[in-house]
Amino acid sequence: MTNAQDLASIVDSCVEDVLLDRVSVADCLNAYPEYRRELEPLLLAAVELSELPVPEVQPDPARRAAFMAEIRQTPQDAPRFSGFGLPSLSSLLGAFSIGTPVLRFASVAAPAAVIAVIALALVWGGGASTASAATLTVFSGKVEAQIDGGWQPLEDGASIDEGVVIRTGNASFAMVTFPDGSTATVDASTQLMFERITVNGDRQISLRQDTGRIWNDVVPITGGDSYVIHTPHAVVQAQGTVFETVVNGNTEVVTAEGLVRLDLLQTSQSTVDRTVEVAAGQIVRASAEGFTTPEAAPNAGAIEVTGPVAAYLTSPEGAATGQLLSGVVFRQIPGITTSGARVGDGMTIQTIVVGDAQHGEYSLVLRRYAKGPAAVTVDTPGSSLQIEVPEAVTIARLPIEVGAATDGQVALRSLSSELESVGEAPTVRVVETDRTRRAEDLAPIRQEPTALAANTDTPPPTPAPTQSPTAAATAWRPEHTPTVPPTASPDAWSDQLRAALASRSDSQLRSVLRDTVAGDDATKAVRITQLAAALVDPATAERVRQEIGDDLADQILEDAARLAPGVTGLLRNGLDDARSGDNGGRGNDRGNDRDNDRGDDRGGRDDGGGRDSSPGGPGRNDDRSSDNGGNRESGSTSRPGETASPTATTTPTATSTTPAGGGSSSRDDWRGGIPRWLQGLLDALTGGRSGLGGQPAIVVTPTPTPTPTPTATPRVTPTPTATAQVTPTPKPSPTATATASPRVNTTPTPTPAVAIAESTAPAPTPPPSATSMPAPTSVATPVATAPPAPSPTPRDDRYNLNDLIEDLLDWWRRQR
Amino acid sequence: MDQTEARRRAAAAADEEAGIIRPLVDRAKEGDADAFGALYDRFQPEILRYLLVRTRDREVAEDLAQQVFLKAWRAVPRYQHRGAPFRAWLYRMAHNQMVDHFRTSRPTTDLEGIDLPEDPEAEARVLAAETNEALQDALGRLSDDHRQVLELRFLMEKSAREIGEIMGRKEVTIRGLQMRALQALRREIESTGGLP
Repeated sequence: MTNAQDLASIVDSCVEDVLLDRVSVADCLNAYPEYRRELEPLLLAAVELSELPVPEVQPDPARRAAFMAEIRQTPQDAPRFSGFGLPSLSSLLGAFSIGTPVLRFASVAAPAAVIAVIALALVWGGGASTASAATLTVFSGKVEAQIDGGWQPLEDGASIDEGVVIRTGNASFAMVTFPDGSTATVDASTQLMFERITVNGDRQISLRQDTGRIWNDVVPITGGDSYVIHTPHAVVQAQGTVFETVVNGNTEVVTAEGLVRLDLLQTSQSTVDRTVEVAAGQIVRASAEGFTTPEAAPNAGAIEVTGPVAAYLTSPEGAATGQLLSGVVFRQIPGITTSGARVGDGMTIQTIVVGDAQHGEYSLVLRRYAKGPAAVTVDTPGSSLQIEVPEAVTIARLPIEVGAATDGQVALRSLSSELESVGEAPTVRVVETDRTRRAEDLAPIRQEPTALAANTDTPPPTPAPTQSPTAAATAWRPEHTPTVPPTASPDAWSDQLRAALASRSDSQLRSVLRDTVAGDDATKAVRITQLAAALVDPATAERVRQEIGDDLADQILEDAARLAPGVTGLLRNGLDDARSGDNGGRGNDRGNDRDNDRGDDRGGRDDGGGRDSSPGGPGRNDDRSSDNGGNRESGSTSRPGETASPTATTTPTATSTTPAGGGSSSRDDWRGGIPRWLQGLLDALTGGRSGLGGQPAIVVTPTPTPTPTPTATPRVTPTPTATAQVTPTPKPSPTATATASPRVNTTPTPTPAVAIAESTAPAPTPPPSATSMPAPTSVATPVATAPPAPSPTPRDDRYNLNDLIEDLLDWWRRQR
Repeated sequence: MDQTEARRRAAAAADEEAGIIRPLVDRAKEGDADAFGALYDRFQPEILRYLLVRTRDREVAEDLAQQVFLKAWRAVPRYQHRGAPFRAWLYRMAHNQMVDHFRTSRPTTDLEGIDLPEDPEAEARVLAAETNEALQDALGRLSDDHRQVLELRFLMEKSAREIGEIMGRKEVTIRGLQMRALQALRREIESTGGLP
């Protein structure tokens, strides 16, 4: 922060305090003696201003009556324009009917570039996604919603709108996922109302909890965002954190991570404080008498996993806390939280912290994604057990018990000293949101060690073009970019970075790294994001850290804070290691390091605050975030509008981690692929000959025209089955988005549960249709078990201009 | 820095926006005049006061406020709950209306339209009036941005965050703007020999 920013903040703070008579001008000057000279005249001017008389005005009934009469005669404007009806590139090409490559290039490049500029202008103008429904996941028991005065059962996958009241029965257990990716796990006998679920430029989520227990995992709060729970005793406000609220005669708040603020609603004691902050590891109870003093919350212990292994803990009800291979982090089990994988001491470390969790037996699931030493350590107060994860084991399980120790405190212990190798990982139910998408975008590709080994020495093949709708549908995010045109585009830099990392030439790598902050802001944002991906991958992180200088690291961090705030945590983590030379700290910040997840969630927010809310401003009604209805299991990145196969729901086939672009060397195993929009743009600019992705990376898959949807009650709607998919397809056009979240005014109907194992293919050799990692040559391998999308048949339009805009906006919003 | 009050105000404003304002706006968007009437009741006094601070003429301010709400009625179908609260939207319209007004007419310095607080001490009242006038004059010589941020902050008692919503700028920008505006105001006051 500069001195000017310092002074501006101090002035504002002092002005606020002085205006509210909390302090005098002299107090403020004494508090900031170093700024006394500058501060004094400003504060005196402020005081003089604040003493200016402000006229009081009273309503004038006559004017009001005249006004009301006038508006009854005055027609209103038409609603805001909210969409584009742009033709696809193929139709444009058809219209141009140009055959030569050069002209063909020009015919595509010109409109594409224009659209890109328009899209960027819209983004700068503050377009923001809007979503106002949460998705229900029922783990066990029953969940009911209050509709028309009665209680009606809600099915798994139901969509919950603002104003809905739900309750859980005895022995019931459910989870609500908000559009921003925040989750609230709802325990048995809990009743709550969804007062507000809005994800605009500022996220506003507000619940009213009447009884029971809620475990909240909140995407970090920034700016005007808020996540608030009103209880009968207090207002609980999260600051981007993991915490629990229990309402049972009083309100108990336990903070697992971050900070939570409580404001007392009412108290019989006039002298008690009305506000208290509950830090991580603390518990506070609020009642009409006031607050209890913050005290240490129960701590059962922690599980630390080191090495190329992703871990999650599953509860008997089916909830889970941990991380998937895809990079998605989730915290669904009350009392248990986890860090994302972070890099330290040359390896990744993940820590699962167990607090006041329900007593019972849990399963720790370990998923290896690369060769190398790995271990799991179960730490409980007073003891520690370390178990190595053999390289031959790809999926393992360790039974863990949470129970009472001899001193009566809750404690954690391993029920076995050996890992049990299993062929199939238990399912994890994660609803796809922007949060999961961001996590996946930034996470390294992780694959089974066998596939990895097979790829290590094999040059990446050039993927063969394919017209197979199914195969094309899996190629929504290319993992490998074999060749790119010799341009200064970010993807060219991406290849250069990869090549430099593979070449072992330090000077070459340094040169490429210097270019991270070359170019315009959009270019820099892409490169910085890709650099972050390289820094979280153990295979590449060390070399990047070695060759990046202090000055460059500082510059990158500074640019990242401005252009790609979502990855600053990752960058700082990796780059600080390099500069301090301190690669230790393994486990030192247990439970507090969530860079791989929490920091990433900061993107996508519209800091523009409503800049364009005024009529006539840029019109863009982006409703993509509301399309997160599908319950996803084991990390399949189902996309709205994707197609589902009822048979595929129980078949461990396609998953999002499948790089349909084909095999890649182990050194290429970071998800540093260029953004989809950019790849599509380049494809468009080059008439599809850029080779990016090697096959139609973006294939428009038309979805059926959405049924006109009533907006009236009931506000609880079942999630359509179309959103419970297994086959990743391109992101839908706005039309497809609308299809994904119909407002069906019907009684909730059962939604087929989707059970997709992240990778249930038994080691060592995944079958061609499997899922987690195809062989290098399986570029065009169709996902045999996933049937083609429902009619109409997907068109090979390569890239639709609407898609380009959507992707560009989506990407840029994430960067912001 | 104690931000409790600011947070509380922000939370209260957000609650009001969500629980009261938004449903009314939604109804008004559908053409419900009564709902818009309720919005008028809620915000007209505040907007009128804002206009009065600048115009210093009650009749002019009343007319401008009426025009603002009439424009808002026409335009509300295009309003979107997307960042800027409805209140901030109205403030923007009011500011634009005021700018248009001053483009076509000279600002008045007539203080008679303002209900000055009663002061039993005539001498003190005269002094206060002179001080106020000098301050108002100094304010009037500031740039539009500087003047707007000071009026909103010190006369309308808005927080930096709320001002940001109204002016379409980030909170941190508003803090810097506020500081520079105070500096400019100080210079203007000193350029005329200080306040009486």
